[in-house]
Amino acid sequence: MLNGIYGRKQDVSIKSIEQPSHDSSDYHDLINAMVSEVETVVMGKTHQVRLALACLFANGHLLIEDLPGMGKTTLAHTLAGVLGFSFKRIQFTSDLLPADIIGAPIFDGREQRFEFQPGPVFSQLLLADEINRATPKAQSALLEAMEERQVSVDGTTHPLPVPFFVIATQNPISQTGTFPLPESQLDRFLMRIELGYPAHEAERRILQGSNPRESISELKQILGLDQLRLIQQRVESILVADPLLDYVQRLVHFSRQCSDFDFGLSPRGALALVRSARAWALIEGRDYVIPEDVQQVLPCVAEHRLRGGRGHSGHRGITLTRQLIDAVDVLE
Amino acid sequence: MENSQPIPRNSLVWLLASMFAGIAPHFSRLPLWVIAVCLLCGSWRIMVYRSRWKLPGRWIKALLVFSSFAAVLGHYGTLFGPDAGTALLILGFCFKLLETHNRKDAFTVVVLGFFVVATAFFYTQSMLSAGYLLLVCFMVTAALIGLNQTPLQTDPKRTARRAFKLLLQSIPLMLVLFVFVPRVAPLWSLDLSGSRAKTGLSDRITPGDIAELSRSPELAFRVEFEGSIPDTSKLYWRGLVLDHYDGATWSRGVSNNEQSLMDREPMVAGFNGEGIPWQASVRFQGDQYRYRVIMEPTDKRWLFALPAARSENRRVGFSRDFRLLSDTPISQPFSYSVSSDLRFSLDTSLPRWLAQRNLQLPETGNPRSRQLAERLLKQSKTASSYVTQVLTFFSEKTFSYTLRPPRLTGDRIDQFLFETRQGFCSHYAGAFVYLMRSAGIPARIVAGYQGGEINPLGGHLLVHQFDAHAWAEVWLPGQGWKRADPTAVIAPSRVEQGVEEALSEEQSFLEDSVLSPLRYRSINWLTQFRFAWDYVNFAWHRSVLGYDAKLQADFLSRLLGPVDFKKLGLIMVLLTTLVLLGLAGLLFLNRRGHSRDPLLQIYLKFCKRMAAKGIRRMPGESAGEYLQRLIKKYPDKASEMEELTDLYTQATYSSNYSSNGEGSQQATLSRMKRLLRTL
Repeated sequence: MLNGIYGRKQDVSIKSIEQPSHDSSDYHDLINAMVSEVETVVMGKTHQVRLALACLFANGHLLIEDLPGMGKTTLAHTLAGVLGFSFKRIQFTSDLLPADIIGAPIFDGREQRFEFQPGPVFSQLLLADEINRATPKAQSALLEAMEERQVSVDGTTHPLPVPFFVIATQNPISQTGTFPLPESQLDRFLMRIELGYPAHEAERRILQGSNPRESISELKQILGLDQLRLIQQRVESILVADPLLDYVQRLVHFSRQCSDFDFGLSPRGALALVRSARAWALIEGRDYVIPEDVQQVLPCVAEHRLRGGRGHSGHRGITLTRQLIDAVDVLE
Repeated sequence: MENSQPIPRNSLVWLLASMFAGIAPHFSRLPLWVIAVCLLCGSWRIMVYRSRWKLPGRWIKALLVFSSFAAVLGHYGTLFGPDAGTALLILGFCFKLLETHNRKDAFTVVVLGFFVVATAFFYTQSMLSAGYLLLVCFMVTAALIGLNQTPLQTDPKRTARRAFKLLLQSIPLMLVLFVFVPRVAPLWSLDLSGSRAKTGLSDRITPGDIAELSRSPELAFRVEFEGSIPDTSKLYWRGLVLDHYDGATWSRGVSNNEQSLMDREPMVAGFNGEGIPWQASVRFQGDQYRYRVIMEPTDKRWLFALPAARSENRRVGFSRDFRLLSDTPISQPFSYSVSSDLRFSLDTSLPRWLAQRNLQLPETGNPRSRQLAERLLKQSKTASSYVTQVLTFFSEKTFSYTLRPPRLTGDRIDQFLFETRQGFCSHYAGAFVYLMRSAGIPARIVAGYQGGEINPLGGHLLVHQFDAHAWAEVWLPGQGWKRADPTAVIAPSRVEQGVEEALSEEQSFLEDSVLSPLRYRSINWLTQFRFAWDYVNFAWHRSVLGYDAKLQADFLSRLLGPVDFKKLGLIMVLLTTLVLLGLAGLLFLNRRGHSRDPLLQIYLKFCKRMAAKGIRRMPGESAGEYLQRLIKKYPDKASEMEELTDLYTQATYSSNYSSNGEGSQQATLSRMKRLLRTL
């Protein structure tokens, strides 16, 4: 568990995982180091930070939904800094065009030909700020790139960098003039998290501290690309035992059967749940998944994929996932 | 789920399927246009589902409803009665299905569907059709279940499985209701005879008219004897008495209208236990057999029994010529018990009017036969010796038994007796009676069945249509009516071994019914199969269809002593409760039976123990969370509880069932058991 035993700039033997390791505790130290590094900027949000990392390790995209000023962008910046990724940011507006995201062929006067000028999507970590402000056209350009991990312009296919990780943020209220993402596109995000207000103590520290933007530049890169790849491979090999799959299937089955849900979790949703639970188990330093892992990631994996029946409108994901967790027997 | 929601695809599929399956048994009965309308509605509904067409508008709906009402009225002449009613119900079912656009409508359609299934029982109650209708019931149930599922469940197979389970669960309840619900006579009677043609005996015999007699392998009736079965040669099942001859055709009475005869003379009596005025003319003299006849529908009133018969059944009456008659035409399988004394005397003194009727002959014709009668009469002193003379005439001359006799015209009896000399039972019976009447001896033709086949499985007798037979009855002074069967003289094997043996040379037995298993009696396994199938059907008729008020009363009083409605109701409620409790228990066990994993068993035991101490694990609570709560309450046992939980979690989730090392699992289990003991 993280209980502050790691100091601010504690040096972790990063070299220990240059080879694929079968001991998850090797990763555990490294991950803890990352979490505490991020915590220096985004204070008091350990759980959300760990979820965001789990999302990254599971090779999925992340949607952060919260009010303005809650630190969405800061979190994205910090993650990019800790990971040492090339980082680009798009501020989505209603007049944003697909070409503004994926790039466009530009005429080169000297060479006398069109040359593809890559857009901001060609980066390892893309922050899509206020994604719901853009028109569906622009949104789908990004979401398509997220799914395919490549971009096709004028018949040429340009692969996106590896890793390619999208953190999108959206503002849940003041929806005037916005285009909420439809369910099908929400599905592209492995997780959706909410940051929420900071705790009393954390807020005090924020108020006492300097401008977080400045501390971002001081961040230390913890993880290299190779190591990220190793971690992602390791996530794949985390054991998911049959009793756990039974539990996941019970959850999924319940969401499909119970009339409180308009529709249940899709197989893709179930897959996302297992993938995220694996990543979470790794973060917890275990090489097998236990039901707690599933329960921890379930709200952020499932809530944007579910919709309540009986006249519920919009997303009541939290209550629904809570209901799901409470109703389905872990053991059976 | 809201009632206004659209019908899920799953349910619609099953509704459409059950619509076609439910109407299918009526296809042959319904007018063609009804079927056309049903098909139209079905395909329209499919097109609506595929969003190609729109739901019908108000005017079209009104037009459909009113025009079909008018058409039914036009076709049947009424809107009531089973035929018109079924047609109306089926049309209503189709229309409702067509206009259905939300769940509420669909529930109505489901209920209508069950009714349509029920109407099929008006027309047939055989085991096969009951099985088929059960299948349709199952489809309607599947539709009902589909209605209650979310639109995302698109697998009709899964719905079907659930419907199947539901039906299975309802079987015990069905049995309780079947056995115990009092059988009350229907409050109304339906005329179900309709225009259905049935094969069977005809009440007119014209020997020599049809050149060939084709005989069907269909079952006429089954007989279940209490005790032994008489010899085949004694099995003369009387059905009809024909006493009028017009020179070609033998028929019943002067007029074919039985009613007019009944006006003149109470020809039938004995229904509902009323007295029989001519009872004195029957004398039973022993050699009694008791049996139960289970008849296939004939749409006629006449019943079959061995002479001299009497029946206690209230629906069975007794005619002046000593036959059993039912009060209404037999349109459903009908069973009645009979006791017959094979030694009897009937009408020892014959009333004048009866003697006249049984001496009736056309004024002229058949001179050679009349001469023969005169000649033979001169040679014999008494009536019975005249009968012997005539039978000897048949046996001495070159008569032969065949199903393909030549046609007869003109003086048919003469032609038959002196020229062709080939024929089957009715030729011989007809000629015999003619000779009797010419000599002034009252005689008549009796039509019915002779013989039968014993099903060794059920020990009952099967009488088929091809066992149909005609013989004669002669009235002898002092003895009354005596049976005389000239066919038995010419082809003894017909009476002793059945019609197949009698025709073994001619090879004409069932030559029209190539597919009938009866034709291939020499194939042993086929015969075995036929008997088995018949036995099952027989059991169905006897125990299911024949389970009437009397049988119910017998059965229940044998089971429970004297019964009354109060006791019945109490037992029914009790059994129903038991059945429901049993089902609930089954569900409960089923739910628990899942956890056969020994690790889980121990852990659950641990949870149970803790629950007894006041901290119950919530269903959604994982082992870790539960542990935290437990530790808070019982910090002193923390380490044990922690170890147990850890052991459980690790052993369960850190490896797959299959790869679990037997030994290490045993160690974990015993460690957990030890820990559990300390708690």
